[in-house]
Amino acid sequence: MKLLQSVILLTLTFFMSVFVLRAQDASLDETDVQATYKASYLFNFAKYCDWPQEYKKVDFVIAVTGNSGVLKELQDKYKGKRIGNQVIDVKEIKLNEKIGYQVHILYVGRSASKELLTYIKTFKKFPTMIVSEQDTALDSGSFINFKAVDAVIKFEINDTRAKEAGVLIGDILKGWALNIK
Amino acid sequence: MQRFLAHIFFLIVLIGASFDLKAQPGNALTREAIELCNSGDLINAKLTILEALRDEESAVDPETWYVKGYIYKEIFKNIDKESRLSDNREIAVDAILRSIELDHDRVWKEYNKKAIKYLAISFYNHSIDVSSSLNKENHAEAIALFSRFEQLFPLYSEVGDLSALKLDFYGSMATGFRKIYEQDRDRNLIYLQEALIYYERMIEIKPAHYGANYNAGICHYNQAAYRASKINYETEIFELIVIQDECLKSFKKALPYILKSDELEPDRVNGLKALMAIYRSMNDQEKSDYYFNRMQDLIKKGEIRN
Repeated sequence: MKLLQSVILLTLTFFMSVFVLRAQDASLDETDVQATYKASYLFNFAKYCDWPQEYKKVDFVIAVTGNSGVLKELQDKYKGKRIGNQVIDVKEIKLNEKIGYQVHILYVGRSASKELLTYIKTFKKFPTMIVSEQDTALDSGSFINFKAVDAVIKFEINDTRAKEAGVLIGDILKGWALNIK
Repeated sequence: MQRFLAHIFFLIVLIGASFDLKAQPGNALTREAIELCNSGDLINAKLTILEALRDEESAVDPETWYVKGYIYKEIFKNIDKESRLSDNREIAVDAILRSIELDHDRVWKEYNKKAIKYLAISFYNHSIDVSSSLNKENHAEAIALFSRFEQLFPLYSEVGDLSALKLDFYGSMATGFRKIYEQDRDRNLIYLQEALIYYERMIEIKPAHYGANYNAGICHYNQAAYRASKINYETEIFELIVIQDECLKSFKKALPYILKSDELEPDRVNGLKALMAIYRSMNDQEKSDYYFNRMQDLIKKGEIRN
């Protein structure tokens, strides 16, 4: 009887240990990897470009549409940091929304690519750097376009368009660009 | 299931593997030691069998050595309470090995086999105990305990297969090392490499092992994802390019493992989520969407598993 009890007890113990071993699968890191890359690029674009004087008197606004991961990354790690004397503010904008503040950088994420032309039109008269990730975006009026090369995110520049808008793109950025128009 | 049944079998064997001590040796001291042991007086049984072994004839008698092994095993079990630090277990093993060595006519073969089996399994159980609570200080001990079990295993199981037990031990070690790494990912990177070594050993034994493939893939992926998560306002563009290159290498390492786990168990949500994340991190949204859609289909059909 005692032996039988031991067998049952130890069997249950082993069953539980097997269950525990099976349940110890590693959990997936939830970091939005692509968002970390793109947010860092946007911060570096802010750091290595120069905006007209009237855009230096207010908070430095990085606006995002079409990529909630990048928006969150910017809000978590970059909001409140400084670009020179300006404090970074991060905002989400939506199509047809009335924007009552100066936007320094507008990143149009892939899922808002269909709205890119509308945003380019909306901000055409302002020194707002449009950053996109769409094949022909530079031709459409985007300043900087993300492009994946062998799965590594890099960028290309439309310097002409930037100059027209009064934004000077620094040499450091130009040095890393895939191509410059 | 097969592994589980192997565990149960092992358990029953362990319970049934009690020693026999009914022999009637010629040496009076050995006989006395047996009687003392059977009456529960283990300390005097030990002193008496040591005295018996001073006799030249008894010192080369396999039975006397077997009795010594038995008594020390009883001390390990009843006085040391099967402590893994017990020296008496090692003395018991040495005595039984000496008995095997001297037992040219194999008269004591079955007794010695039983004895070695009990002791070997105690090493195995301790190796699992230690590996289940692995830390920076005790991993060498877990390895040593399992190694001792591996050494003794062929002495009682001529045709036995260690694979299932190795898989359990390696799995436990891999999980333990991974957890040490996760406690401090910056300083404990070396333990992630150790975890990967053990997952690889599991895959070597059983290439179609879901857990080993999945976890090895996740280790590679998480290492890169963690690196990416450390990107901040101090990261310069050149660093960003370097980080991306390094992360990409890890994603490429992770991919075949996770694809294999998905091939083995295509209805597991974790594998599908991992593939979505890997392809997304490699900027391949199309493939990421493919796994997302597959997951949605399985959810709709109610066929998804954790």
